[in-house]
Amino acid sequence: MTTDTDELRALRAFRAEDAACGADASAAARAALLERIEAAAAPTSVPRVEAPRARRPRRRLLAGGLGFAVSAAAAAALVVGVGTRSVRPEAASAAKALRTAAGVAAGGPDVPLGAGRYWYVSRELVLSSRRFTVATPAGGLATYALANVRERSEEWIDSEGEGRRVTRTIGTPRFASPADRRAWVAAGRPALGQGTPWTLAPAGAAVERQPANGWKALSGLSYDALRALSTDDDALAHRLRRVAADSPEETFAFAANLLRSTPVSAAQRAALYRVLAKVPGVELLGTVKDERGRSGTGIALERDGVRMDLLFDPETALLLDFSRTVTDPRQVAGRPDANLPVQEHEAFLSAGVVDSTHARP
Amino acid sequence: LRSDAELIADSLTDPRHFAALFDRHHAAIAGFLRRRVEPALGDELAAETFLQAFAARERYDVAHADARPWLYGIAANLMRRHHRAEERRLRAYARAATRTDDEGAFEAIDARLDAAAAQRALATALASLGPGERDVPLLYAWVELSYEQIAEALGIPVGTVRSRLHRARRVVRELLGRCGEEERDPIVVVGPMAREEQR
Repeated sequence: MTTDTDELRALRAFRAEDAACGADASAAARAALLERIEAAAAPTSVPRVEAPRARRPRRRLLAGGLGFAVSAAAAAALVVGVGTRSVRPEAASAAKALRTAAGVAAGGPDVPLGAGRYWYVSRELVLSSRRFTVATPAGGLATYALANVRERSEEWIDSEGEGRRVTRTIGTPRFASPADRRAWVAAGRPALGQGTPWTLAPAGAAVERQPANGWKALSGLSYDALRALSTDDDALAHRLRRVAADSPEETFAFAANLLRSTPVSAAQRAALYRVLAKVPGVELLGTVKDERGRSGTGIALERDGVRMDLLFDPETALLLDFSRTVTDPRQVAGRPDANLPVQEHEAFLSAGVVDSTHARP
Repeated sequence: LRSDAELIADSLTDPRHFAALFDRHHAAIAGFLRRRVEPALGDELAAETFLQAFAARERYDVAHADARPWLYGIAANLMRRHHRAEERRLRAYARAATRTDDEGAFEAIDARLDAAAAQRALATALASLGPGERDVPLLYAWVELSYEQIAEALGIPVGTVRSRLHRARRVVRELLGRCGEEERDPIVVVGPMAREEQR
């Protein structure tokens, strides 16, 4: 063994802060493995048909399959306007729509968080692919997926990251597939939505807790770092690439996240739209309605088997809806379940600055 | 405590034993991958590592009690498909100063070096190595595998491990030295380094 020299010490410390895997990712990985394990332990009990589904054309995939109404419901969250998919959208028109939105955003409100004030954001999250791992009466483990589970959340957060978060489960969950139902029956029909890594609140009940990780959970940046973001397009794009990753899809996702969940200033919102306008490959979908019937301008970026859709109100430049959908599971690491293509989908209901953790804008 | 090899052998008759191997090694494998690419991609590759390992468990040589070389071999192999993402991220690190949010951990390790300059130098050094070459110093420094285990993981001779590690350390040392000359305040060069120089 060599002695622990400067270069080894430095190498050991390099990016050590990124090493810790979150509980959710770890539990998801474990659940995916357990699913394979259980399938191997009882090869006839869980017939999965991932490969043929993965080869389906996207239109079929997004439409979901027999009994998989979850995926269909979530994927249909964005209903593309008349004829927009039949005409190849022009990237240039997406850039134009985004630059127009930048102009609107520049004239929007700008209310920094002073002492005793809270950023409020209300949204509805579709948990379309939540897996639960439960102990079986025989002492083994079973894993099943629920779909069409929706969670509505309200969050109040001050400049230090303290505040209040209330979540409630709404809607009626379904099993993601017949195999998931069989796994749940085999596990002795435990209470739905109970288990790891995720436990849902009983339908209708509100669960209240502190915001997890404060601002970091919303955007990965502290409030001060958020407000210090440059309003110069190139400098902002450079900063986003540093925080996220140097790729168009990460820049798109990160800019969308800042627009949808953080109190950046009007000038910063405008700059974020201009950054989006420069992301290569962004397509204009035209006028689009979300599942709540709200109409807006839709844009999308599809790369490496994943498509991100973003809907904004052209009158106010406020974000309405964001979703991330797997269009080709073969291209995505971890081979996501073709039955549950929507990775995340959030509808943004309202946001603003308020004076207490019980006030709404 | 059952060895990794025993768990894998048991999993051939009852696959559920494989879950214990996951519990034992997943966090470290995920850490290894998360540090190399975008953390979310690292998580996906870590999950895939165990799916591939499970599918290939019948081919595991149970003479090796410690399964880490086998698991890291699979992880490194998956990583190689994403070497462009890794290099893109390293170049981004090399260009930019350290992220403003979390440089504390780095500084605490080696207070003598300016954290941002050292990160840039390290990223430059690692980016200058080929994808296969990078595995060796990272398995050695981060995972603390022995030369023999690294050779087993990557399917290369022990002599090649030695030469790749030697080259990687030289590149890192040179670039760290250079960043020291340009950016390190000479007043802070005290402590262990001064003692080393006196030897």
